Amino acid sequence: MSNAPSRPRGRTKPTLLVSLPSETAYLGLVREMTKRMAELAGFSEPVAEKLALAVDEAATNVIEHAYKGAADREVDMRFEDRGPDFRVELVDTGQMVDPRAVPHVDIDKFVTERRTGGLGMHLMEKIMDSVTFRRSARRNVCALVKHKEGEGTSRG
Amino acid sequence: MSELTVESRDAGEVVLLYPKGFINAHTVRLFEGALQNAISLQRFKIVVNCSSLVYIASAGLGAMMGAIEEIRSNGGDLRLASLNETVQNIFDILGFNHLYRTYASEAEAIASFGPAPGAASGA
Repeated sequence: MSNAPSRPRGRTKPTLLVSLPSETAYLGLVREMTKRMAELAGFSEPVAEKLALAVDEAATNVIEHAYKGAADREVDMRFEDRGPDFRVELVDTGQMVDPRAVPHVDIDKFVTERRTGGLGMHLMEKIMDSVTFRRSARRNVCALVKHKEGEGTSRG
Repeated sequence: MSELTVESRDAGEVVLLYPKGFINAHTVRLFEGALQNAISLQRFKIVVNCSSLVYIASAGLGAMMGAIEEIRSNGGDLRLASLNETVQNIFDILGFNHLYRTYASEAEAIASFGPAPGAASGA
C-alpha cells in the first residue's frame, strides 16, 4: 500500500535530480553520470555509451545555444528509469532555441559546404527513440527517451 | 588530470596525432589546435591515431569537418587509425565512414599515403 502518485507500469525507480553549472567543464561529468544511470537502468555498456553521447550533446546545446556560453547559469537534469523507458530531461532558463531552426544534416554536403553545425542534434535523434523540446514557464525542457526493449538491455 | 592531451609526431611526410582521452565541447580546442598547427606548417597528410581516444562528441567531428576541405584542397587527407568500438560506433551513426578513410592500424594508415617522394625502398 502506498500513497505514492501513480506511475507508469514497470520498474519505476526514484529519479535522480542534478543541477550543474552551465560550463563545458562539467560535460565529462554529464557523460559519466548518464552512462552509469543507463547501466543501472539495464542497458549494456555500448548502448549506455551512446546514450551518454546523446545527453552530452543535449547539454552542450543548452550551454552553447540557450545560454550562449554563459558559465554562471544552471542546467537541471533529471534521470528517470521508467521501467520500459529510460528518460533524461534537461531544463534551462536560457533563450528559447527552436530545434527546427537547426539545419538538417546532409553528410555529403558537410565537406563541400564546410558545415559543422547540426551534428549534435543529428546524433541525438539517431541515438534516442524520441527527442522533444518544449517551453514551459520560461524554461526550456529537452526530453530524451530510449526504450529498453530490444536495445541491448541486460535485464533478466 | 586533464581530459585530453594531443601529442604529435612525424613519420616522413605524414603527421601523426595522438589524442588521448575525451574530445567534447570542453576539450575540442586542443584537438582543433593540433589540426590547425599541422595545416599552418603545410603538413596536409595527417593520421589521427585513435587508440587512446576514449570518446568523441560532435564538437570533435566538427573540428575535423572544419579542417578537411583545406587539407584535401592541398593534396592531403585526414585519415584515422585504431578506432575503439565507441568511436567507431559514433562514426557509423553519422555516416562518417563515407567521409574519412579508417584503418585498423597506424602503419596501414601511414602506408595508405604511399611512399614519400624520393624515399628509396629498403633504405
